[in-house]
Formats: sequence, structure tokens, C-alpha cells
Amino acid sequence: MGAYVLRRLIGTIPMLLGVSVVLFVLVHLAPGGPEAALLGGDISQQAAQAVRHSLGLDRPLPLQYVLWLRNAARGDFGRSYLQGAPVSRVIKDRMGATAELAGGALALAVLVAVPLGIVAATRANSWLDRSATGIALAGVSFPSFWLGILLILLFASLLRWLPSSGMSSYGLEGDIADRLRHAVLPVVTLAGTQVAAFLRFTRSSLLDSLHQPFVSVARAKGLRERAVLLRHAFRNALLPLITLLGLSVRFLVGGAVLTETVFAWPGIGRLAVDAVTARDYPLLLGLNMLLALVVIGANVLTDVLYSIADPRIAWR
Amino acid sequence: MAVTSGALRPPEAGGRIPPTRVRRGTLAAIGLAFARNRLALASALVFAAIGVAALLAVRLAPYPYALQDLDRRLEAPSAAHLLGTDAFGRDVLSRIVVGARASLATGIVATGVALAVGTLIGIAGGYFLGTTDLWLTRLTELALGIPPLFLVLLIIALFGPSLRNTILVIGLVYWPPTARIIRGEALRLRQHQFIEAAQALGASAARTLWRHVFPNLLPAVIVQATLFMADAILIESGLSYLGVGIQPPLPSWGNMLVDGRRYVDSAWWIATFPGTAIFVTVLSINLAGDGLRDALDPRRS
Repeated sequence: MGAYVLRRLIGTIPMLLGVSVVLFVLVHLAPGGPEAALLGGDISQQAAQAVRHSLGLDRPLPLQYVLWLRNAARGDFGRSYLQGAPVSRVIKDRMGATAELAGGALALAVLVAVPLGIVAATRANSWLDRSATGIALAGVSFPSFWLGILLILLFASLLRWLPSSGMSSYGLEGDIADRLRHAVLPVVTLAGTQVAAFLRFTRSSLLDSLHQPFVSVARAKGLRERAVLLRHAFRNALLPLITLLGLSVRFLVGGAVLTETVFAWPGIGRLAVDAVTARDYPLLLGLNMLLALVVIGANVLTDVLYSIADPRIAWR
Repeated sequence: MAVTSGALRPPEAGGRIPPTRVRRGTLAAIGLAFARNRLALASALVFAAIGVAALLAVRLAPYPYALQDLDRRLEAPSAAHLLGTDAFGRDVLSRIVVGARASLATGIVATGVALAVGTLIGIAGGYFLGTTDLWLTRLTELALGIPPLFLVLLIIALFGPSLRNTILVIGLVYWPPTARIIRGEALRLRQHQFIEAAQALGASAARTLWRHVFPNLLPAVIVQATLFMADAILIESGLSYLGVGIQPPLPSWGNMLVDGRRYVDSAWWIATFPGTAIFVTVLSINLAGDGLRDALDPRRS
């Protein structure tokens, strides 16, 4: 198993290199370099040239890439045009907030969706199943940021129970209760659409496995329904769920961008939007590389978990 | 090979459609099966109505969408302004009707682009196998390795926000799931004898693909189209909300919600109605898509 994990980890290196080449070329293909964004629209040819030279943008592209890669390998992604600070530090300052938001949302989504999905599948076509799947279908049709706005409308504007933006109140930065109160609405918002997707998935995956012969065998040998369901059917339905969790990382980071914007949550999602408007290329490159690392890492983790959960899959 | 395959969808949602051959008789049967599902039919009609509204938008809207009336800023719904007015005194109903154009244009064109790219890459890999497949699969995995929304943000930052760029970017970034599913279908198809027969008769690869493989992929492509169109509209609204999609003063449901958030304490109608428009449109596509999927695959249900 150790060898398998190692091989998968080594396998991510060409992936990351590929991603970095794609991103790097993309950035440098773009019309209008960063000098216009840095100095404002109307600048002299000379000033533009000077800026390009100082940023090293007048060198041949492959050389720029190699230099960038050499620094990136040491964790140095250059300086953010926007903030002047090193990209790695800018990102690190914001990463915690996003991790908190995404982690909370993922946990909440699993805790709500999986039990509901099990109930829906075991009572397929009952009113309970119909309402659960109906709500789930409505859920996947719901723009996540609109859910956030509606929650603000209800719980912050009308009822005044919860704060509508930020991570903490001014002067109460260390107060855990205050932080939690700030986290409720953003976490629920981000979890919302995931709940819908997870529920639909759990239900159909469990339904699939309930129709397998081994379930009939388990019933035939006289096992209690509870044991049939949890120890035989659900364990097999778990496999696709693991895949789903791995994939959901891609969607969580996307959803985080919108959620953070709605709630003025100081995470990397908002950072990315700010970087777009300021055309902060080093920051955008760094952010994309970091997230590619997270997504690819999540894929490897998924595969490893998958092969632990399913002994039929050999350590190839 | 990674075991993480398939998109973020229930297992039955994609890739399990049996290779039904689409013929005229089959088409009628599919139409009949679809029409029998009342919810799906009603949803298709709702979606068609939204489409008509988008086409006639400028005539249907009670006011010009950009007409400002600064004396009537942030007015609650009334007889004159059925859904109220926004921060510039513009009629919210008119802007929602005109905003339908951006959403539907994105939904349809971006879906077309994503499906064209995904299908082409998927067919090529699944049919030719060998090194072609190897490289195309790697390309797909590479594309899957970058969180899509961040890639979209990066590209918009480089090329600037506009309706055209929004549509193109969504189409060009979100093709990998389609490519995966179509590749799987093509792999399964090429083992059928009628493909072998076509090859034995000396049909060129292009002819085999176009006349024999592609028609049998259509059900899978159609299913993907309905799934993706709903997503594309959600993505567009999200980008416009972030300010990197459709640019004001051109209305889109997403950019209207920016004001909805800003004035959430004083003007509930701006926060509510554009979102409802997105929700109803996407839900009608999803419901109609579910019905279409059931109609295409009689084994389910």
C-alpha cells in the first residue's frame, strides 16, 4: 500500500507541471500586460517598457517559465501587484478562513444529506422519499449565492438573529461564540447546494446496491433489516460516496468564492475576485496553483480511501 | 488510472444510457414517453415560455430596461412597477424580462460549445484508443485538476468581462465531464458488431464516426446537454454576481442580485425576484431533463 500511495503521489508531479504550463501560457497570452493595470491606462511606451523590464516580462517566455518554476518549487510565487507582499503570505493569511468555511460546510452537508438519503432510499416512493428528492432537486436548481441573500434577508434583516457579514464583530475578535454566530449563515449557504447533491447521490447509490443479489442473500439468511441495510447495502453504497466527496472539493472552492462575496468573508475566494479586478497575475497564478494542488491531492486521497474501502481494487 | 470518474451527479444521471439507435419510430416513442410525464411536460412548457419572453423581451417589458427615474428609487412593488424599482429607479420587472436574454443565451450557446468540445475529445479518445486516447485522457484529467470557477476567473481577468467572453469561457472550461462520459460511451459502442461491419465494408474512420458512432451517442449527448444547460445558467448568474460576467447597465439576473444584496435591509424585492427567475428557469430545465432522461432510457423508472 505504501508503494501505491507513493506512486500516486509521484504521478501528481507531471499533472501539476502540466497545470502550471497551461496557466502560465494562458496568463502571458493575454492581450495587454499588467503594466497597464499597474500604472493606469494611459502610459508612455517608455514607462511600459520599464515596468515590463523590472518585472522580467521582456525575457523569452520559456526562460520566464523556468525562473517562475524554480521559485515556485521553493514556495516563492512572486509578489502580489495588489498588496506588494509575497503571494504565499497573502494566500496564507486568507486560507484559514476558507478552510473553516469549506470544512464546516462539508461536514454539515454530509451529516444532513447521508442520513436523509438512507431514509429516502429505504422508503423509496413514500411521501418522505418524494419530499426529500423534491427538495433535493429544488436544491440543485438554487443559486447558492441567492440562498445566502435570502438567509440574510430572513435571519439578519427581518429577525435580526445573526450577523450578515464578516468573521467577527469589531472588538470581539477572540470571542468563540461571536465567531460561531458569524459562521452560521455562510456555512449553511455553502452546505445548502452540497446537501442537495449528496442526498440525490446517496439515495440512488443505496437504491442501486439494495437491488443487488448479495442483499437478497443477506435477507435470506435471516439477518435483521437493520443489519442488511447498514452492514451490507450501505457499505457498498459508500464507495461512490467517497468519490463524490473527493469531487466535491472542486465545487466547494467554487462555491466558496460566491459565499465569501455574499458574506464579506475574508477568504481566498474573495481574494481571487479582487485579484481578477486588479489583474494581479502573480496572485491569480499562485491561487490557481494552490487550488490545483488541493484538488489533485483530494483526488489521490479519494483513490487511496477507495481502495481501502474496496479490497477488490488491487494496489496497482 | 484514477478511479475517480464521473461528474458530481447521481450514478444513473450519465453514462449508463444503453446504445439505443435513434430512428424515426424511436423518436416518436421517446416523444410519447416524455409527454406522458406531466411534470416534465409542464416544465418544458414553462421553459419554452421563458424562451419566448426572452425573444420578445424588449416588447414585453413595460419600461425600457435602462430607464432611470431617480424620484422613484427603491420603490416597493406597486401597480405602476409590479416588482418594484431598483436603486436607480429602474423597473425590476422589465430588467428581469430583458435579463432572460443573457441567461438563455449563455445556457444555450455555452452548452453547445462545451458539448461540441467534450464530444469531439470524448469520441476521438474512445474510438481511436492508443496514444490519441492516452493524450486526450491526460488533457481531460489536467483540465479536471483546476477548479473550474478559478480558471474562469483567471481567463476573464485576462480577456475582460463581456457577454461573449462569459459564454465562451463557460463553454471552454466545463467540457471535461462530457468528454469523460462520451469517451466511455464510445468505448462501449466500438465493440458492437455494426461498427466492425462498417469498418469491414471499408468505411473511412470519419464516416464510421459520423454515421454509426455519433447517432448512437446522441441520447448521452442530449442528457448531458440538459444537465449542463442548468449548470451553465447557474454559473453565468454567479459570474455576473461577482461582477465578472454580464456588465451593467445590461441587465442579467446575477448582476441584479448585487443590488439585492446591497439593499437587502431596505428593498427585499430586488433580493427576491431575480433569484426566483434563476430558480424557476433552472428548475424547469432540470425537471424537463429528468423526464427526457427517463424517456430516452425505458429501463429506468
